[in-house]
Amino acid sequence: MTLHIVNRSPTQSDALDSCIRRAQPGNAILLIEDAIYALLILEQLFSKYQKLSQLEIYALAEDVTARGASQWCTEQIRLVDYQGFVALTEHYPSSLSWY
Amino acid sequence: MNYTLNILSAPYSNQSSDTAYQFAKAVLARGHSIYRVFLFGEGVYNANHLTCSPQDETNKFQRWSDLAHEFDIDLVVCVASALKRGILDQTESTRADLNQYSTIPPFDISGLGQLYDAIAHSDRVVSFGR
Amino acid sequence: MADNNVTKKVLILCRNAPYGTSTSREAIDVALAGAVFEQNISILFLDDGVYQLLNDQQSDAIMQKNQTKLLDSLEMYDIEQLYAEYDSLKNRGLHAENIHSATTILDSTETSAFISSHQVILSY
Repeated sequence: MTLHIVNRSPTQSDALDSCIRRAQPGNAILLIEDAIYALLILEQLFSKYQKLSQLEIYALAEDVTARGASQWCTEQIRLVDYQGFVALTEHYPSSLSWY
Repeated sequence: MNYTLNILSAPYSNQSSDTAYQFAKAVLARGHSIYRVFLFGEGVYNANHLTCSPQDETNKFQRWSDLAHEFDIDLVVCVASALKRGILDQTESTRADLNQYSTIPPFDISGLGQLYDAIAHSDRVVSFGR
Repeated sequence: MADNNVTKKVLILCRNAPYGTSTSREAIDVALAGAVFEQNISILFLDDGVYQLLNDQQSDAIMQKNQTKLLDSLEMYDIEQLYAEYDSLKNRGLHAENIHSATTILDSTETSAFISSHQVILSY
């Protein structure tokens, strides 16, 4: 059970794309730092990757707020704060950072 | 749980080391302990004590130093990554016949064995890079 | 608490090309250290990381250490298998004959399973 942590903007880097392709059902993806810009193209991402509906998707609230992206949060994404980030690492025995 | 943080990017230039610091504080707030913070690659620049921050900004060297003192955290700087980037403590500086050094305790320059030791002794290993 | 008696399976995940940045070289340093300390490590090349596996690299003129020689040195410490993802190779126009002979090529399902079979994943 793996927590995938992505920190690059999906329109600048292939990190998120790479992550999604290798993630397994039951894994989680946490968007942090510039990766939260994925919220702005969520529709596109869910159309492109059927797999996303089998993954838990989280975004770091502080990074979303910092970037003015709050209005793009939908119920497909769960917002967590830094303690929530830690809670995710408690739950998922291994983490894999994509950058 | 015991955590090890593996930090691969430099402060100021990238957000990752800020994220790592916030994560570290949250780990401690949730009652866990941090076994080691391992600085590797560009991450060794977090150990540069010649960091001078503007008055209205956090000193990114000092904050790790303060956290390590308060919570007894082992801050290890990978020797291979550090030396070639000019991050030397007093010992390494003398060894290299130089008259300046750029890092001080609680940062400790050591080898990659410390990363594997940390992996063996930690329940969770999280990497922060760019 | 962590069980110190069981050596964890560690995966060194290489996603970066050699020479343009130091990341790929430092990743192999991590792998070599793991081998020296008799850790249970594997190395997987993904995405641009597969460029590290190209044969015929001659890096003297750009004043850098040869990445192939670095990979070859892993063998001295009993890391004889390198793993690479088929799609990463294919998307870059690469085939088995272009790359390091000690490479085992995994399809995408095998790659995902390989990644999750490791307790600790260090990505470079």
